[in-house]
Amino acid sequence: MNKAQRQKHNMKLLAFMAVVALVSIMLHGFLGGGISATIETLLHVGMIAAIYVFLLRSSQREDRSHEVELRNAKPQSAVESVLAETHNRFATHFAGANGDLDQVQALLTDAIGKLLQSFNGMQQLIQSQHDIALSIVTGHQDQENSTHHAESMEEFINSTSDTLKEMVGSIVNNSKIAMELVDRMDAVKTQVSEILDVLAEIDGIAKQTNLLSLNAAIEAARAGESGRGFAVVADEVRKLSSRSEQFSRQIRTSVAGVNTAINDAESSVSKMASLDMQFALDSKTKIDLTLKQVKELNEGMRDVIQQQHAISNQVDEVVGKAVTSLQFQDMVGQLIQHSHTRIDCIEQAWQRIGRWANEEQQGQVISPERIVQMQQEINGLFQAADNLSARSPVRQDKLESGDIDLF
Amino acid sequence: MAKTILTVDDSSSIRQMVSFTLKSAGYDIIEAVDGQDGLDKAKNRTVNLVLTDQNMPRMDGLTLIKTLRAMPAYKTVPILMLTTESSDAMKTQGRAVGATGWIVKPFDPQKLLEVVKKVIG
Repeated sequence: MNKAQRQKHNMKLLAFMAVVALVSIMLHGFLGGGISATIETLLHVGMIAAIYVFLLRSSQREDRSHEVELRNAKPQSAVESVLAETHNRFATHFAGANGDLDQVQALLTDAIGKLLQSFNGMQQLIQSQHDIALSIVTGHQDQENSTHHAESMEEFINSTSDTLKEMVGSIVNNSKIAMELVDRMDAVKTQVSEILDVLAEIDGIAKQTNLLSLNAAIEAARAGESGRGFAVVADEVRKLSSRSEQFSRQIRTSVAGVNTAINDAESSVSKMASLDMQFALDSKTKIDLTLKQVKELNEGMRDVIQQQHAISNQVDEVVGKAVTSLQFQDMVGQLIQHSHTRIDCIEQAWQRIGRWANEEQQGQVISPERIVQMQQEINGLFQAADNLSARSPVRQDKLESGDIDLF
Repeated sequence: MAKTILTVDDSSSIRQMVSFTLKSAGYDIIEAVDGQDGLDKAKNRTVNLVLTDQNMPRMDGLTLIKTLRAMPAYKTVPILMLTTESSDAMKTQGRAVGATGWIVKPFDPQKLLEVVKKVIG
């Protein structure tokens, strides 16, 4: 009972006694009591007053004793009171902290899963892009075939170039042969000219023979009858001379025709040789240029494919590093679980302390044995937390890839 | 025929990462969420390689290895630990129960692939 309550109680007692005294006085007065009765009443009042004073002093003593008691007990009671009142709120916040950690873990798991799916998709898209580029250039969708095809393309270009060189060489040779033919025709023309010269000699001989036959005929006529046979011979010689001249003209005409034909042939062959050579050289220049462009295009595409392949490899490497880094979620998850368990230990310890505070506040006497048991329970819980601290599942403090041991 | 790898880990992201790394190299992957799940799945079919975490609910990695090694089908199947545990004491325990190797997380996908190829080709 506190001081205020005791004072209120004393006041009620005093009021009750005063009422009893007044009633006693009134009864004695009205019922015809004398002076002795009045004195008796006053004595009653005095006794009541003495009792009141006694009670008042006793109450004051009790108050002082209680104040001393409170002074001694107040610190422990306040802690107990705070513990009893707050342990449930602490429990709520411990549970809230655990809930927050669970939420962090769930968010991390979800985010990492989605990130990983994104990386996976990105890698597949880059691979598809690479394959499409290969298929555009080569018609194949794998690196081995594309390389083989690129080599085949280069072989094709080289082979075509070689064939063209051979073809141009052959045409040039033909042209050279044609030019030799022209030279030989020139030689034939010279020989034809010599034939014509010989024919001129034959013509001269024919003319002289004709002149001789004419002279012989004149001489035969002069000789008369005796020269008649000679005149026949002279006439025959003249006929032979005429025929020789006729043959000579025919041969000259034929040789002139041959000469014209040779000239025409020489001109045609010369023209053909010249044309073939020019065409071959022009074609070779054009085809060389085209093949050079095709070769450059082929090399350019091969370079692009190689660059794309290199980029694809770099993406693989970067994604690999990302995959290594993303494993922080697993480590953080284990550390959160570890913290979770430690918070659970602390929460249990706090719950027990709060429960004991409640028991004490309710007036239960805590025996020394019970205190020892409490200490052991608390020590056990903290020992469990200490053990957890000592064997954390994650010791890494950097995200570098771990060691690999094959036994 | 593609070789089959059983990956046992309570972290879904690690299972995804292992699958992502090994599937791209042509392996078939079976996922298990803890040691007990891994044991159940290993009983249903024989796999070519087991990759297991250590700290998992229901059954940890060392217990899984010990249990598998007691099964005739898993006497010689390679089993690799893939865990954040890196102490020599744990590795010694792993070796004692029959682990083929020990890979400390976080793993490098390329190195993981190299080890897997080395172990099962």
